Amino acid sequence: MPSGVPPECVVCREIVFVGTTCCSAVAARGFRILEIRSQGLAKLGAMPQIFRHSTNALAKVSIFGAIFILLAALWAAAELHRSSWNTGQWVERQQPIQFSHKHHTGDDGIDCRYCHTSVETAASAGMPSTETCMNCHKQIWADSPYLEPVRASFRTGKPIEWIRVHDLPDYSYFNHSIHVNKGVGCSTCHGRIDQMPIAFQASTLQMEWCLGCHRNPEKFVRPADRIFDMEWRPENRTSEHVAEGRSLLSKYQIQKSEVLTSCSTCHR
Amino acid sequence: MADQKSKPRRGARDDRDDADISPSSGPPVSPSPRLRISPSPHPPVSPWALPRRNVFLLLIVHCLLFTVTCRQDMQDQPRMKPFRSTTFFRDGMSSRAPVTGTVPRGHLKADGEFFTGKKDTPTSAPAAAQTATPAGAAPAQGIAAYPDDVEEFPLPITYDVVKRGKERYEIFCSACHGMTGNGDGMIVRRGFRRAASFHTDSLRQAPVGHYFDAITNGWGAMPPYAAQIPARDRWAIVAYIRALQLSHQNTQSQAGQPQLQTQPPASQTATPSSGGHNER
Repeated sequence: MPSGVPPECVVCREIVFVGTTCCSAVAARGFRILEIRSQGLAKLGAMPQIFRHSTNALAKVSIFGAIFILLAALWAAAELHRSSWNTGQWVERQQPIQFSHKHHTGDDGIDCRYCHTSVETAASAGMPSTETCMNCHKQIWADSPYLEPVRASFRTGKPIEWIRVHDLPDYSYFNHSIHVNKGVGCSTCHGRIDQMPIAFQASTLQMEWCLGCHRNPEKFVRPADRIFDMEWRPENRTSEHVAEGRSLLSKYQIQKSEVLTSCSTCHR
Repeated sequence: MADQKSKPRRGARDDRDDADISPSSGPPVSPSPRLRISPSPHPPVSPWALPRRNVFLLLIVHCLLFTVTCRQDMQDQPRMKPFRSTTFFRDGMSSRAPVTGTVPRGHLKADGEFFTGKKDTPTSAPAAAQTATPAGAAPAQGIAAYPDDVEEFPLPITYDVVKRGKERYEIFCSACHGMTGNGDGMIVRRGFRRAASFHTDSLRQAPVGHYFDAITNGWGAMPPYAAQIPARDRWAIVAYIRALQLSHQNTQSQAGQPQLQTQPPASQTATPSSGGHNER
């Protein structure tokens, strides 16, 4: 076979390359495959250069670029994971009745515990019953169509279906009372709820955020009479404040951070 | 040799394994009219094509990893949390009330005086207290007006109890009765019917059981607070009201006021436009 002619099958006369078979007849006869393979190898050896030498630099740059792209993608994914798009942070939740914490707590000065009665004694802070709303609203804004859902609920006994703003995943255990009784104030997690006309989630509620306090509780605990103080500093930043926080840790008998960050503390 | 150059390059394109090429451009030796070019197993692989493809695959896998969070099975487990709605019960509530006629452990209200503020054995027939108008205008005064209410605290009153009472008073009572008990709290200023001042003769002389009863069952426009305040805290609040009354008396006597004011000042907001709508 001349060198300029591509190798072809002896049986079916089709052009083949190294290692391939064209028909079963060739596969049945091993020596013919060997013949084809040797011809193909001879051809590949004579193959000219396709890429220039400068392609090496291009290849290196593209490998670096790939790593850069990968890292950038990782970073973007992490940021997306922490974003309010994913966590629901800062997103105002529309409720069946536009209850304003700003009005009731900030302007009128009603204590958190007037409505959230079980926050000091139970895992759930407690949602007020319609009767609690009607304590005042049987006389104040009693004719307002705005509050008709409240009155309807009061008449029928069917609870108002509020939209949960802080929805922890079910695999995490959280208890309001232990936090409130051991120096974690409302505003530490819920932000300035007394300034929110429509309630939103002020924290990410991600595990990273929980651990931020469980690792360094001395930076967030506050005196027992300041738990419901909305204007208390959100974090102990200065050294004397941190020292005060440390003394509070022993006063509240808060466990070491090894215990606080143990898996089973929050995942039970 | 010109055709040799083109053939391996064509083989490098994986998706073109059955490309038909015109016979004129190919070698003239093929007897079969259909010229098939099989894919080469060793295409001239460029040194960077493989990593780039892997990176692309990695990116896709990475993005897929994050779509895992779209599944919320573990986040929203089919179990009941407080205040979570359900379709299982007809009323849609997952929290159930105790069965009628049963008492949860630790909730047996055996001590009647402690939990009602009423004497176990009524001392008199229905008195003026039942028909008395609220807000300090009762004709009968003092204990005589509330003959069935206990006159002594059914629990020892310590400093801690009064402190607790102060805290609870400021949570639950100060909204209407005001921080000092004058009956001019914020809700009253917003239009609620004027709350009773604790610094009137009739209320100063009222037995502690009356206060407890008023908190527990409501009084006039005041709603019942039994659901919001446990019994022990209600007694603590009563103790703090007594402390408020004492402090008020002291300041007035020290200031040389001869006569107690039955109506505290600034009652112009007591009867606003919407104040008269008492539905209950």
